[in-house]
Amino acid sequence: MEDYHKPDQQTVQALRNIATRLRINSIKATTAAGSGHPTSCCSVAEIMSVLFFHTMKYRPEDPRNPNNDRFILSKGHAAPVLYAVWAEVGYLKENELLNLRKVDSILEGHPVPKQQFVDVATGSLGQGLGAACGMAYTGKYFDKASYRVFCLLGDGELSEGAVWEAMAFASFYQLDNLVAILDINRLGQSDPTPLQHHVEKYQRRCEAFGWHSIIVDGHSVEELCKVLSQPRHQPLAIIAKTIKGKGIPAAEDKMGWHGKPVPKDMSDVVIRELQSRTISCNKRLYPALPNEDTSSVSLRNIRMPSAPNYKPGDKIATRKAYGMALAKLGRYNERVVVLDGDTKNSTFSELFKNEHPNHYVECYIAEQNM
Amino acid sequence: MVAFASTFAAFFSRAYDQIRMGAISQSNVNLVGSHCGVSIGKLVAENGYYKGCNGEDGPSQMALEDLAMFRAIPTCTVFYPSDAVSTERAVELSANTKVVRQSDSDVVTVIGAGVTLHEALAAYDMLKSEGGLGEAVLSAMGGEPGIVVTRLAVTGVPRSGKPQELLDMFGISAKHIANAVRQTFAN
Repeated sequence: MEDYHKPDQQTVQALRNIATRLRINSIKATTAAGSGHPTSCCSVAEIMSVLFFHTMKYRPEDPRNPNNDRFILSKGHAAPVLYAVWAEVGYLKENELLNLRKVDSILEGHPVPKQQFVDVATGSLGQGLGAACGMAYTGKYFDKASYRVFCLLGDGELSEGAVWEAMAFASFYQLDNLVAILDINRLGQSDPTPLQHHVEKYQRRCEAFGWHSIIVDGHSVEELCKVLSQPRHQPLAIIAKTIKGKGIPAAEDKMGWHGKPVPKDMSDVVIRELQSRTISCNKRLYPALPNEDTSSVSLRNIRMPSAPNYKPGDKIATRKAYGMALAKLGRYNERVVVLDGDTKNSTFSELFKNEHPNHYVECYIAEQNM
Repeated sequence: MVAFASTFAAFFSRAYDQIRMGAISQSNVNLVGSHCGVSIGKLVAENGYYKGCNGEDGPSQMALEDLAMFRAIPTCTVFYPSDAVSTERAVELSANTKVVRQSDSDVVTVIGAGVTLHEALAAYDMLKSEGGLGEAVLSAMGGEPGIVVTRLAVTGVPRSGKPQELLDMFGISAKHIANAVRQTFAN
């Protein structure tokens, strides 16, 4: 049995308070903007609180630090709660949150990498896990570092095939540094999701794809802390049963609220109600520091060691020349990585693989994931 | 990492949303598509040259929209090398720039979808003997200002067939290029 340090009651209360503040700020921001997805933010408030204040190891003042744990908000429309958590750690100013979606604010409707705390743009659902797999693969096999990768997905986007391409990739390559949190809030945009709250069905699917998976109450800070702390030997899927719109009484678990900001008159009441739930505690939480075990990388000046070595009149297919060029480039540049979709003996990327097998990644017939 | 991801060019279409989001993410990935145009099929080795895979595999393996698709991606640089030397240079260049895509083809074009450089060169040979028209072949295939551009392209969904048959069927073989040039200069 793994050694698990249960968080004390003060920490638990502090995490709950943070979740409440994340809800309040998501509602304030979207109401001010007149658009956005507060109910999608409310279902993940506890998840974000625990991830950013208990689980992840990172430097809040240096979001691009290569040693940091990585986070991808695959359900990119919950951007307001991502911005709220970065304000909570002090990286963003709290009043900047009210500039959500304004033309002169970096806080766009969905996360974009001009924001230092975002690595990949999300919003087109189903793509975040694939990006997370790439990061996890890099961390495990190229950087050989200890940072972990966390990806938060909605249940609506689990209908996208690309998600399952990524699931297969992750277990095949044993990405045990990867955690996917599935926000099972039952409701999509225009209809409930096909599996609604049948979390056990999601669990069976994740296990079928080779992942370890655990069902939790997505609004229980204690359950989240526990499941996120324990190391695994396979990628881990946390199937979090949640309520869309949790904290907004009129919207909780109700259709018709996706992408709707809380009207101003309602939002004042809701926010006051949420604030009254805050139970004061003395504990201030800070994210843990990351291990410093990546080496610095320069991607500049990737050069061929010599000029092309062909004679006029040589007849060679350009794809063969491509394969040979890759192999040559890889000889002197260790940051070159090659991926292929089971066509390596046609594209000749196999010439690179033969020479540099540790830098070649077979993605099989799953181009969206590649 | 400096990443190169390759497959048949036709199979990038299904990942176009990912490619689009990659540009929005300021990604630096290099995508390499082989077997563009109508020339995919079984390998036929002739004097060590993989002489245009024949067109037997059919349209599901043929990329015709790939150039258009990548040109529509902001920040994307498109390379379309026609021989081994330019391919190798393109690989090196793309390793150092922002989002780049290369396209390989056994039978390669200068500009425009489906028109083959080698067909153009063959047309050049044909026309050379007619005096002074050889240069115009290549120019007619390019976008030089002041030169009349006659666009020859595969229209419609192609089909299985031998590559030379397909090139003829869709009006982009050397014979057709030569005719187009002759007609251009007849006016």
